[in-house]
Amino acid sequence: MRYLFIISFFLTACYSITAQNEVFKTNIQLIELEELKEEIFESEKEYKIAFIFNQFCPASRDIFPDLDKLYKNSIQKNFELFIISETKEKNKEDLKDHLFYYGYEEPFYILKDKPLLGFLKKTIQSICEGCDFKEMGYSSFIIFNKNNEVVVQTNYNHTEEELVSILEKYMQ
Amino acid sequence: MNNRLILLLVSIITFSVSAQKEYTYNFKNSDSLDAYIERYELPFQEEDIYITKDSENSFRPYYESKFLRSPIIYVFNEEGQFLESINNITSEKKLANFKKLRKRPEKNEPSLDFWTSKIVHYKTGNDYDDPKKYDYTFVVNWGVFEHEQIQQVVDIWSEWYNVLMRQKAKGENIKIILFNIDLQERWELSPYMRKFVLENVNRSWGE
Repeated sequence: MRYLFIISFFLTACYSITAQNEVFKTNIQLIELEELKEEIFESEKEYKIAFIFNQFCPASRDIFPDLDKLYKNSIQKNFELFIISETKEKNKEDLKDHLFYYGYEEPFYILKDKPLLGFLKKTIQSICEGCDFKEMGYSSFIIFNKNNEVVVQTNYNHTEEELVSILEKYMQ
Repeated sequence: MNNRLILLLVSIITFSVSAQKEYTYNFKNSDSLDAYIERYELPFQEEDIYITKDSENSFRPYYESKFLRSPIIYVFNEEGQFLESINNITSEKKLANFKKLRKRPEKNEPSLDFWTSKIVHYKTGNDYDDPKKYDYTFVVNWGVFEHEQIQQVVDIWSEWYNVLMRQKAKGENIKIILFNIDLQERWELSPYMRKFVLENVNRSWGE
């Protein structure tokens, strides 16, 4: 019994030390657009959220603290998040600094084959043929269900409150 | 335009902004600081919070200098030499990546001693006494302010403290001083002096 107490005390102490010194890690992956598409469509989650992000876009920056809260507070994790960044591969460190500064742990994807022009058109059309890319911008997102059907496609007419409200519904 | 940028343009340079006109400054103690920290859910840890030691030799030099403002961070190198000040525009680049901090000290600015000789811990009242050498010391000015944009200012303080704590957890050898720039009960001023200080501060800060 005494040993059990000592072991449990030791484990608790270790856990506390680890928790206090937990090192934050960013989650950035370099990926080809086709690979990303496969990751999204092969995900078994109930909802798959593809969010278009640009770290220099005020709309992206404004909504992200809310998205981050939802991500960190979600209990069931019935969704998978794919933050598709417009960042260039060579600017990966800038994105890393941005995520470190704000403590964003979400999975960010930098496209290795990012087109010089037409990032939104190529990316959106690739993962969602039926989506109207002309109405979409940074901070827009597409939500797919388990069967890879589009459940929601947002556009730049949505207010920030509306976007957060949609995310709240699916990020449980 | 980004809300934070607007906030910066309006108020970053000094906290004596017109938006604070209606707020009346008063003396604070550790309980009022704790209440404010709790109310705004600031992530501050007790051990990092410091206040000015007294009114004449500590608060006054700040009051007469350009260093009594917020939100701003003053950065010092290992030798305690002043490197630069960081504001809301530069904070993301500089605090997330210390390689981007200025290397060469500013010759004409006071060193870290100017700060550490005038501050005490907000609860114990003990002088600042930390013999350890740090690669960088960050003095983060903050205060018990109430005005229309306070939530945005509070968010900035929280962001700054959180990213510096992440740097510490990552292994960076840094010191964080959360410097509260309010008037302090601990100075134990006479009733006459209290009145004099309050009148002066409220007249100049409230302008």
